[in-house]
Amino acid sequence: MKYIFRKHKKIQTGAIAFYTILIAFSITCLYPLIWLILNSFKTNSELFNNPWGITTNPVFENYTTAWVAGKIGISFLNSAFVAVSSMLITIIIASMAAFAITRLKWKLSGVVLGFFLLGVMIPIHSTLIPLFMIFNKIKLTNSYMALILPYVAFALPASIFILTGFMSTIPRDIEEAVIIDGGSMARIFWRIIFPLSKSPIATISIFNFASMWNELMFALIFMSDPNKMTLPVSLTRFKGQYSTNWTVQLSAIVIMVIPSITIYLFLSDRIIESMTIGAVKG
Amino acid sequence: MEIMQRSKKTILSFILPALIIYIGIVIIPIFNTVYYSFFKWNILDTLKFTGLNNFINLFTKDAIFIKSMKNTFLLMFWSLAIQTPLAILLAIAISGNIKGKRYFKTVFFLPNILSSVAIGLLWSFIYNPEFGIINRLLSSIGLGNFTRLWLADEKTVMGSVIAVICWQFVGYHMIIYLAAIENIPAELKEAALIDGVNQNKMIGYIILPLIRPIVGIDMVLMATGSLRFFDLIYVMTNGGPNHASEVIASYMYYKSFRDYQYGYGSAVSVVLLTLCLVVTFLLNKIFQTEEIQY
Amino acid sequence: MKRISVVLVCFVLLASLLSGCDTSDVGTGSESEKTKLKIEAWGIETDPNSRIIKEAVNLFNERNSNAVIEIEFTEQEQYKTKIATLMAANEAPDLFNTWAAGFLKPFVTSGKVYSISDDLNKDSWKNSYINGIFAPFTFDGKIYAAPTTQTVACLFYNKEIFDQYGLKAPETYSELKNVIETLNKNGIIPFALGNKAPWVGAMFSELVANRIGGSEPFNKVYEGTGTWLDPSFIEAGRIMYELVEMNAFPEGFNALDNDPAQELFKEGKAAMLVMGSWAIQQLTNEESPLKGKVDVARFPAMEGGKGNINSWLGQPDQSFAISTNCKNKEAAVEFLKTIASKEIQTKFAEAGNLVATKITIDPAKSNPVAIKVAELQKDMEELFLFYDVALGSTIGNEYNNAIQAITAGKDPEEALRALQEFTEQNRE
Repeated sequence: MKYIFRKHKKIQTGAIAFYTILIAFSITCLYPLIWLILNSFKTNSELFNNPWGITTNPVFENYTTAWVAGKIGISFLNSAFVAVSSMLITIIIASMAAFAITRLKWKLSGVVLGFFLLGVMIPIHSTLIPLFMIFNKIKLTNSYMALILPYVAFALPASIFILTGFMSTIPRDIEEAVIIDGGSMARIFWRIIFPLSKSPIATISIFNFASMWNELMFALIFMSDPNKMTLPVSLTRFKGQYSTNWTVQLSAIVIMVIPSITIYLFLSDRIIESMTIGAVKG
Repeated sequence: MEIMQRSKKTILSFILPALIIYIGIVIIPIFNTVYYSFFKWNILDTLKFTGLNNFINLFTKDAIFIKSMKNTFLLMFWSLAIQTPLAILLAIAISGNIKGKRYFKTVFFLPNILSSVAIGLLWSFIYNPEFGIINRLLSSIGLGNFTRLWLADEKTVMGSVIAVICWQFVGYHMIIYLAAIENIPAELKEAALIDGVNQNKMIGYIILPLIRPIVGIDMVLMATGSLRFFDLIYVMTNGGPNHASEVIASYMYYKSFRDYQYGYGSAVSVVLLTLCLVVTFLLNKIFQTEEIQY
Repeated sequence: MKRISVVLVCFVLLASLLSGCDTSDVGTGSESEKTKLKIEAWGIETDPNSRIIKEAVNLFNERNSNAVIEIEFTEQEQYKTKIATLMAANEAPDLFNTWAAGFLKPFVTSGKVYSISDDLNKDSWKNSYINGIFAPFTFDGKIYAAPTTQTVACLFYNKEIFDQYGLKAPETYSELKNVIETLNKNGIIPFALGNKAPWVGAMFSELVANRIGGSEPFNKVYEGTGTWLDPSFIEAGRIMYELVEMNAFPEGFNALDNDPAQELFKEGKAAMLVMGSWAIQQLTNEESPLKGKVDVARFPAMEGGKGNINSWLGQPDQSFAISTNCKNKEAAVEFLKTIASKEIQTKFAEAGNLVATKITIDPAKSNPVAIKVAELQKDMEELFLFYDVALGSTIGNEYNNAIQAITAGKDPEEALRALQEFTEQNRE
């Protein structure tokens, strides 16, 4: 009895230590965000004098200043437009390519797949200067296309990889029924394969959207018009404009992260799975 | 059916949109970059062919480039050295049916969904020497001597940036390892338990060897990711102070789009591309041979 | 270069639209015969100085029957890329904003800029400008741009604090050291210096270096006949660090942005500020707690130094150049004259700028601090350029970085040696 009791106690202290570490770590992850949100409602002097506490007089103007005067609102819409359109285009042309590679019969399909997969290793940096020159020449800079095109291009390799993985598992005979009914390949793609691929499409939508929404380098170089900038760029510029107005800066950061966090709260499992799938399946 | 699947027109109409965009935006520019890297070219001059001069200058004369290489490797080394073990430990800790598993998983992964720009700005506040909570915390627990300028001090800036990188990404790697651990067949673990294998041995003899291939893949990801690192550096330090946190990517940006030395900047990005390919190849090699031994 | 961005205004006309052809869609028949000129300018449209430039544009458009001007503003950093790109693509705007020396030089050497020398000499237009102001726009004896205003680095101080502790504006380095000591004893930060963007401390050090060695060492670096290892630069670095050790700057000044540092001065927590004259507006406007309390002085001399207290660091500012492919150069010159007219120059002066032309300003309408600067400048013997303006941003930024490293404790000689190597590699 005594022995069992002692053993029990030992497990408990072990468990306590174990959980303390995990909880401490989870606080490290969460606290900066909580700090951010709490302080975004303060005035500058409150932030300075009491960076820890909760304010009793929340300053909502920080948010309106950031949204309107700081042009964060416009950038928010720009970001949404660029990310959503890039994502949709990626979904369509990546599934079409994956369809051609897995469901159509041609000799080079394997080579083409390999050629696309090569793209995973290519850093965007090594295309930056030529793209900048070309876009300048054809007057594409400062247009949404200047971001959408490269976002789609760099999303293709991983998307095609995931989609081909899935599409090659769909049974072959599924197409035959349609063919017998006199349908075309386009019909097979749109009516059967594309709808069947819902799950990998959701996956690529999530991880592509996340990276398109957050992308900085292309956006920094190809968009100089404040009315067309995406959020990451205008946030970096915002820092310069409101360099003495710290809490307004904090509000701007909150505006940037809140949509991500909200969606994450509802779809965390799905998002986690989608964002790590490339590595797990690689 | 066969005929339709072999129709050139059909095949082309499905593959071409992706292929054209991919070749036009990714592949051709890479060759352009390589081409430009042999030229001296500021925006107004016509291109002047200089052969390998840009590369020779980079490696023999350009102290800032050498520093940015060092910093990049420093960043890569510490990312690997800190994140890999930490992520494995966390993954093992929350594998199995522990209480609050979902919570930990969700929270540890959370920083990954945020943009690096937002994270960089947020941490600039946290590191702020005046009202940042790190210095405040240190002084309030009597460690006032340890307060630093963090991002503005050449000695602490790299460490501070690396800490943020680990904060952001360790959860990502943890999830990858967690998936690998949970893919280990339950029978294997049960069998081991019946054989009286204790927890430590289980980790050492079963879990670690079995997740090794995934660790390999993940380390390639981490390494190439570190080589490309730009966003956090740009936001938090812009490579400063005095280039103390310059990395290859930020230096390429700086040379090309601040100094308008496009030829030279192209040479930097050729180096970056080469490094990415070499590191991928090397790490793959290392982990492949290990797999065979095992 | 950010100093310039804090500065004033900018303007630029987009060159993309065709002008000179009568397809203009501006409505009435008479207007359709006008040449359309584009100006690309830097800055934000709502800045006080941008507004004045816009007024000048409107004035020009009202008065001229043969041309109509359109102006477009772009934020400063992006302006640089934009204008360089337009030039490279041979789509230069008719007129464009330019900085002096280093920025303008490559455009001039590649033949993109029209020389206004002949126009300046006609009708003694040139005489309306302050003497010597065209020097940094002159290449091979020809002048390529006309400034609107000028910017000089000033030593601002808080009169109230100085009176309270019985201090007077220091004229020598040892007087300065006494001032610093007294202020420190009373818990007041001597200089509001935020050196996170390193041009701030660099500007300070340029003054120190000039007071020690005069202009010659820098001119030699500029021409390539001298090096950064000149004793005056090393000594200036040493003095910068001496000031750091004396706590002349706020705690953690290398992590402090310029704007919050300037706030320290405005709030009376710091007693002095070395900043470009562009700060006059911000320091003396209605909302500034410092309104009426700011005074300005020349940067103190160094005992035994070769430099003169009447040398000023600065640059001609808000300058405009005409591009070679401008469709109507006569009209473009006319616009430069509009900007240099008494009417517009007075507006700039009243907004707190130091203007580029010799006009007399009504003291009642003008900013008292700006007037004081103008008075001090009467004895000016030389205007030496900000280093990063003179050398261009590549080498200029590296100088700024070197000074920042020195203030963070790096050995001056070591830092300057590295800078010298960099300069040799990057000289065009």
